[in-house]
Amino acid sequence: MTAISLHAAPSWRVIAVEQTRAVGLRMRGAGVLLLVIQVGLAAAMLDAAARARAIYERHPGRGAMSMTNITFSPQVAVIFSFLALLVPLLVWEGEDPTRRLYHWSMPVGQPSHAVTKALGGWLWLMLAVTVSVAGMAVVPLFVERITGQPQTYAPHFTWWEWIVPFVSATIAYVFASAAALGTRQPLVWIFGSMLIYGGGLALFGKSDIPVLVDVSRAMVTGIAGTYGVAAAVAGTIDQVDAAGRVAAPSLVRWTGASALWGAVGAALFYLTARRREG
Amino acid sequence: MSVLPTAMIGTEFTVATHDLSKHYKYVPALRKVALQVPTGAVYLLVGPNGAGKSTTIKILLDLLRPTSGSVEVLGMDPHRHPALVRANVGYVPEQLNWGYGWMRVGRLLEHHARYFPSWDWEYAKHLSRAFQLRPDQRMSTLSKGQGRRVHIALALAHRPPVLILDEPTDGLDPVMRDDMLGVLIDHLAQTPTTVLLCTHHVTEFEQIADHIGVLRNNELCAQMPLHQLKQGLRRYRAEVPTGWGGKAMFGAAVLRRTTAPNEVDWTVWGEQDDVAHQFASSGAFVRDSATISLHDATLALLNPRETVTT
Repeated sequence: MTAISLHAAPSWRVIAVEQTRAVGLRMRGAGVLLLVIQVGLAAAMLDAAARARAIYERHPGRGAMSMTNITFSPQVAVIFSFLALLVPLLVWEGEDPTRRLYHWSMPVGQPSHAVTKALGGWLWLMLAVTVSVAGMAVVPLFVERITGQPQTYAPHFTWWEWIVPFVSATIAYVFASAAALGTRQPLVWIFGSMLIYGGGLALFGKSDIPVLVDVSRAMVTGIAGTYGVAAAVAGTIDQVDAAGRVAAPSLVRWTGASALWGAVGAALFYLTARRREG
Repeated sequence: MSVLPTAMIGTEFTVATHDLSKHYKYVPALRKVALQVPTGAVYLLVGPNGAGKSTTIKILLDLLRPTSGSVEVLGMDPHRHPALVRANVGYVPEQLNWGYGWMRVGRLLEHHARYFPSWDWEYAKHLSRAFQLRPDQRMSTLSKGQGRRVHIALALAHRPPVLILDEPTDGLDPVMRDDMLGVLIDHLAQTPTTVLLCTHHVTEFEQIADHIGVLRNNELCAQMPLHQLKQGLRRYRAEVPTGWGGKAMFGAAVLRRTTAPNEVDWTVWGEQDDVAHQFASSGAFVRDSATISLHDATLALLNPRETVTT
């Protein structure tokens, strides 16, 4: 055939940068809103600390200044997980499987293009989590300065638990991205699944039928078991063991649970990213 | 079996399919289609709704997988080289509801440009002016025609060697259709391009098209250069004796027939002399034969029918 000079496909780096920029542009409003809420909360805490100090200074003889400790706990990761469930809805807004023709028709392999776009959203999500976690780490220091009272962290707090919010948000993001990629109503699928799971748990738990009781136990294990969702999403801190004691957080358990649920989410994401219009 | 040509020989094809079939579950969308778009051609692919035009295009871009058969675009298999094929194709889809409604037109052009290293910004600005695009408008606020113009600009601005346009004038007002055609003519004059154009409005593209393919009942029933169609498909008016039995002699070559008691008005495919000879040998007398417009030819190919008047 006659030689035609072919145009090159774009490099992955260029597409990754562009998708990150485009997704960032889409998420800008939500990001600003989140920042305003955080700054507002921080300001409210600092204001409360300043008021407490002022009251204490006006009445120095009325006993020690009492302020609730502002603490960082890995369990706040649950909040990030819920927020992370919503992020893919913004990333893929208006691009349900029947309306993703523009995205698919670009000169990039379909699965890698989906990964690139999802990666762009994930980077912004991580930035938001970083800002939030940094806020949680820094605000107590200021409160401490204002009140002169030491702020403590959650009991048994260990270094790796700083990572929990990031991993937890990532797992939730991957699951929600799979829903956004593979379904026309991701919100319904995400929260519908939760409702059905919760409803099933409540229903089967009350049942006297042995099979249903077993199913209920299995469902509980899926949530609160050794490698259940809770261990991955909220770390393993403050878990009560069979004897009613607060168990120490376990890095091995958290890593195992995170790897398990991360792998399940990634597999779902891969399957939906491969899906093409049929 | 079609008596019309469905294959071209001695030509290089930039886009070609071989026995291409696609089934949606048990419903056939394409049956053994052998599309041949010669290099540098402007090829009109026509067919009624549901004939398989858009399905063919999606397979060419690896947006759909065929059930069987193979595809070549610029000598490449789109399934094996999807990114490279799409980097060399300017595509205007029929459906415009593809998200990105939140993006402004200017930002969308910027976004698109990053995907196509061959993007020509000067040309993109020229197209934006020609199509009266407003960079500050959000995509979701555009009318169908405005959205279509954005798509055409996106498809042309990286000067691809192949253009695949699926109903490119759908939603455009007559003035904008004319402008779009002018832009397309200029584009083809400046940039060597092979164009595959799916449309219901063949006459709009008659001045630039040089090949035609007709999909009917999910099969390619005709494919040829346009001049061959114009020469070969003619309308014959003939006087016939009462009880004339010449109908069987022509078989599937007659696409449209209007038959009165002693007269027939047929649209027939074949060499003019041969057809006239066939009429004469069956006892009929051809009163006149004439070429037909592309519109009528397309209608005859898409909808063969028989009308009997008394």
